[in-house]
Amino acid sequence: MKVLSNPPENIQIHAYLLFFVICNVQIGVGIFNFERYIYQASKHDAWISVILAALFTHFVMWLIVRALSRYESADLYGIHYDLFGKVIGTLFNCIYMLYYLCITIVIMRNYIDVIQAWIFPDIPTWLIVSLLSILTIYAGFGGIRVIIGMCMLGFVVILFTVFLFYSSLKYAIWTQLLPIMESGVMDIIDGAIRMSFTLAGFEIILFIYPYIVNKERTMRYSQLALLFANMVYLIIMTLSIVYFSSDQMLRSIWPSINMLKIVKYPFLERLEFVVISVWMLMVLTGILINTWAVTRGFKRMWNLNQKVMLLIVIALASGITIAIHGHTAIEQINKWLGSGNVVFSLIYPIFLSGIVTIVFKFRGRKRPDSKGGTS
Amino acid sequence: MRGLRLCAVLVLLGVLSACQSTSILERQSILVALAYDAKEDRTFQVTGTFIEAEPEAQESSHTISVEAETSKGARRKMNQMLPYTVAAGQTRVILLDRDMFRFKMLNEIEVLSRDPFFGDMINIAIVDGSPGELLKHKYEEYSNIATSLNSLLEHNTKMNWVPSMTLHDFTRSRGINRIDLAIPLIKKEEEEVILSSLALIHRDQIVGEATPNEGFFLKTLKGTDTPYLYELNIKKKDMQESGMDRYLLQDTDTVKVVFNVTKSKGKIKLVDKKDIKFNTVVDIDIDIQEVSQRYNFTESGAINALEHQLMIELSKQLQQFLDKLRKVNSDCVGFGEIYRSRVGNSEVVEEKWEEMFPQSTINGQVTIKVIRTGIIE
Amino acid sequence: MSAFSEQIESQLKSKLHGSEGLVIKSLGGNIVVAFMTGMVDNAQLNLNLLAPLTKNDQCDSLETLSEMIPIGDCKPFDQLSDVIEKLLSGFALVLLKGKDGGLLVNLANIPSRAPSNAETESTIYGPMIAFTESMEKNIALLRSYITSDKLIQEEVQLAAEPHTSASLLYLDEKEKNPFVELIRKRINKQKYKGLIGSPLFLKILTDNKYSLFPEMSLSERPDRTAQAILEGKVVVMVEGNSQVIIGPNTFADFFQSVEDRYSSWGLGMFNRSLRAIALIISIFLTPLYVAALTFHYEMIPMPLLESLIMSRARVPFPPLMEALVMEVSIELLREAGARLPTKVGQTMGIVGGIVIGQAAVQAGFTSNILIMLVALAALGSFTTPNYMMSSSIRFIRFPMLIVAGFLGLLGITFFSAFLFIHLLRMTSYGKPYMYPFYPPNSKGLINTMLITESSPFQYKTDLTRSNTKGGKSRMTKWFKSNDEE
Repeated sequence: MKVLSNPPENIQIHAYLLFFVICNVQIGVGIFNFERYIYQASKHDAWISVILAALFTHFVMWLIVRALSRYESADLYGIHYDLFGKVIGTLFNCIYMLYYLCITIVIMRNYIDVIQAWIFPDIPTWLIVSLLSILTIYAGFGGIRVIIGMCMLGFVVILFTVFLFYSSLKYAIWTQLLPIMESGVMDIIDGAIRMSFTLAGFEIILFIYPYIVNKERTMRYSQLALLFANMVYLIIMTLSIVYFSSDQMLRSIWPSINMLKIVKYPFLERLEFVVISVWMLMVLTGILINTWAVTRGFKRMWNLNQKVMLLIVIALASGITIAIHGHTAIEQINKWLGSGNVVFSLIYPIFLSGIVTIVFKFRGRKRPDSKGGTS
Repeated sequence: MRGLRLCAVLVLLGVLSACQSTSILERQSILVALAYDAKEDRTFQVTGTFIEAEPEAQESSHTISVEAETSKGARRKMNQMLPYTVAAGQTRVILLDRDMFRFKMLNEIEVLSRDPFFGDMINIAIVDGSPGELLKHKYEEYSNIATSLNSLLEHNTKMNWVPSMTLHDFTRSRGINRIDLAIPLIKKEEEEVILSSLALIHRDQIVGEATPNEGFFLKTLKGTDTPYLYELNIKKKDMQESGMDRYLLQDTDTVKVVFNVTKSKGKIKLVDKKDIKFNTVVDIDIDIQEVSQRYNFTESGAINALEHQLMIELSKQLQQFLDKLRKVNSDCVGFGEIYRSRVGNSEVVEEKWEEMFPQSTINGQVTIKVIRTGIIE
Repeated sequence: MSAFSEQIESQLKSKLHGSEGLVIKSLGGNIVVAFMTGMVDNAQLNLNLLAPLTKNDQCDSLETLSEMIPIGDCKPFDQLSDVIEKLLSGFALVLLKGKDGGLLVNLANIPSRAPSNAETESTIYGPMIAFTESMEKNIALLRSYITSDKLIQEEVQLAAEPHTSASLLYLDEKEKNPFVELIRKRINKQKYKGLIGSPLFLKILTDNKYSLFPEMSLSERPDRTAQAILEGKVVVMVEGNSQVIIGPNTFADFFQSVEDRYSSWGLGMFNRSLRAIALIISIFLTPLYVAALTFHYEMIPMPLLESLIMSRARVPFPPLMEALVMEVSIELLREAGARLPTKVGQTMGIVGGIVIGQAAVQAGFTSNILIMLVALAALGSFTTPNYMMSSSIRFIRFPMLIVAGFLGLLGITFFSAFLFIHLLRMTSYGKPYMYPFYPPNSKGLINTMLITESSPFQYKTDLTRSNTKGGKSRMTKWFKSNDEE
């Protein structure tokens, strides 16, 4: 495998499309219930936790893009080969692929949980899994261009959904935000760490980077996308603090959906049913990008056909998703993956960028040798 | 590729044939209003008004009541009495009786919000007398009492003095001690249903009542711009201070003034953290609709005098209302919340507020600006 | 009868497999003229061919013979077997004794009609004329709109039996037109039998045979065709067809009428937005009704609830069945109207619609609210200016309805997602179908929606001419016929 990856010209993308991709990986099913976990830790100062976590992601993103720009056009798979050699590199790559597979499963299962709790209490899990799988396979076969196209659509969905939260302003008690910093600093930091489950995902840029035509703009658009996603989280967090009493917040499992219950139009009420259904698009983009990253790994390391691998990955993910039963099991898995998120999308990238900086200082030149095997 | 397409189609067919339970609109008994009558042995009589698709029926709605220990139990029993399954997703009104408070059975209402099919915009009201009777009575004027009740509560919340009391408001305020509930009270008089006053609640007990005028102050202080038609009787002897009596063209004992509040704004300020002292100011713009006696509007100073007089009268009423709140210890305005937000120490405030509130001092002040005096001077 | 003429006759007869209609005229023993009756212009034949030849029948070379004939289209040929097709399309053969080959004289008189008003794409403003079945006339018509040496007409050889002639028309600019080569390749990919009708031809040219939406549009309007050519598109004209094939097309192109450019700027924008709304209505309205009534009764607002229940009270079917019955009857009306002569069709449409609708409600067969929704949806689909697109939209309503009836809003989202993916995957001559929405292009969007007052004058070629330029236009280079990744 080569360290550098140069995808064909006609499937390269412009940096500004990165904006949509990162918005979509950042905002997923987590948006329905993230505020609850943070509120548990930092009470009505949860919004400070969100800002704190957001600033940290901006910093990590900066590190990642800087590390990537040292290579001409490499992705994480290639960088691992370059830095750690073939054996350890392959191992690390496999761990990352496994991580993305887990994320896919968690996204699917959480969404199905929401549907079963809110819309169709008796819908079988396999049914929604197969719906999602059909769409994933169909879009995944279209390649990265279709995936990014779906991300653009997802962005529109996000925008509309955020506007729907406007209705809750009518019931806002703004004093609930005060006094600022009543919770201790440690609680606020704890809240920020809990935010990581929701904020993970932006490290996908480690895999998309080779596809970008104008790489010098990467930093701008990836940071903008993060800013947008963080703003969305901040808005929803703030709104839920002022909308709910602490009691309600801690007891409701999906506070964001509860907030949508009051949206009402003369021709349509109870918009939460629409939002939950339409959120399938957001879930789909999340699954698409994550499975794409996994299949990309197969392609890069063993040159396997991405379409065939997609089928296998989807079959695997569907199987495991169907096997998970009950809300408590899902909560448990979410917790495990939450800690995984911190490692894989926050801590490891920092570590990686450190190594890249050191290695490049040592090598003293921009381009690495294409060592680390061929295949 | 072709095999894959075939697979997709087969899966899709499988998906579609996985029959789910449907809830077809006209195959449901759609619950529109629920009424709870509490009994001493902690059970209740639950009355529900349903809309059903009965082409031959005279009326579109249909009311039944059952005795039950829980809401879900009531639903099960109702199912046994109805042609179709009970569907709760369209519930608009929940009526409670005073005994629900007396026997502390409000948890049953809160449990409703656990069910995703119940909306959060259900209006809650207390009925003087039996809510079950109110629903069951065959009215001459209302073809469907449930929808009429809903519209009654809805338009009064939107365009009048009634503060909003939806299921969301209910569960939100119940969960915390620093804001108390104020629930609209309705009563049935012969063939009419009347929205009479507000019940002030503290710790799940009805501790007092507030008149519509007080409801107006309450709503304004809570931060809602409230349109309201205010009626005021001014005694002649009170007019000395503002000098309003000088502009009266006729000599009488009392003057009735009716004005429309076009804009209202309430401000609450915590002026003393230690002794807990609040200053509340209600700013209103009014439009004089009616003065029972001839009043010389053309003379300079006349409007100022009227303004001044109204200010005195309204401030007095506001002060009375605030004193009453403290006396009954029902902080439905949310002074506790303001205190907490300024002082911090949330947990202690939350715990102790019900002891602190009666000890606090609250000053009420109303400022008035006359925008118009109607189209006839 | 000379021996020479008998020899020619037997040769031609055997080539024609004994088909009737061949006329052999011998002139003075040396010259023989052969033609098919009915396919040649008799007046021309007598006056311009037979008359000069009978005067000078002692001619000894084809050149002098050619000079004698006062007809422009007069070419020599070598082999008799090469020109049988020409003979059958109305040419006359002039043969000279002792010489190989002869002259091919165009006297063709194929029955054709004069250009008339556009029927399927009728408008109120702008030119009214439409193409006819004669390719020559069509090209002439088109050239009258674009009188420029840059308009290239290229005959393409079609690997089909019997032979169909077609022309490509495109604008020649500095860059090579990328689609011409693609079209040539597609045409010759396979040997077809009986390519009669340009819609059939269109199928050969599509990128994806399974796509639900048309990739190229058919047009009978020369002004629309001219506009398309100015946008850098390629027009395929097929002999004997009044509809030309315009491609590559984007999804948005199908919702544009030529009239939008002609009407005032605001009106044009309004009309286009109206069509977008109509598209949404026609696809989603009835499925939403079915979904709400089958699964999500919570979503119905209070004032609507009672009237909905009352109207549904007597209907014995579930909402899905009810909606399907109504949709199918609307389609029946449309199909019946299309098959009948225009005047009968119109009356039948109106009478059928009113009678069936009224009766269905009275019989308790369907609710009157649904009748309204279905009619609105049908109306919405008919606002699409392109008939192929409007048929596609009507078609996809059915699966949408069915999933809505089985899975409610979830089903609607599923099928919409499916459609979006489908649209994103689609290409037209290898160009992204969803352009300018995706890949996004702000200028393209502004022009598509006619947002500025200058956009009616813009002929954007950024979709069609992007291969040589670098930078931003690389976006539209996507979807190039490879399926990998």
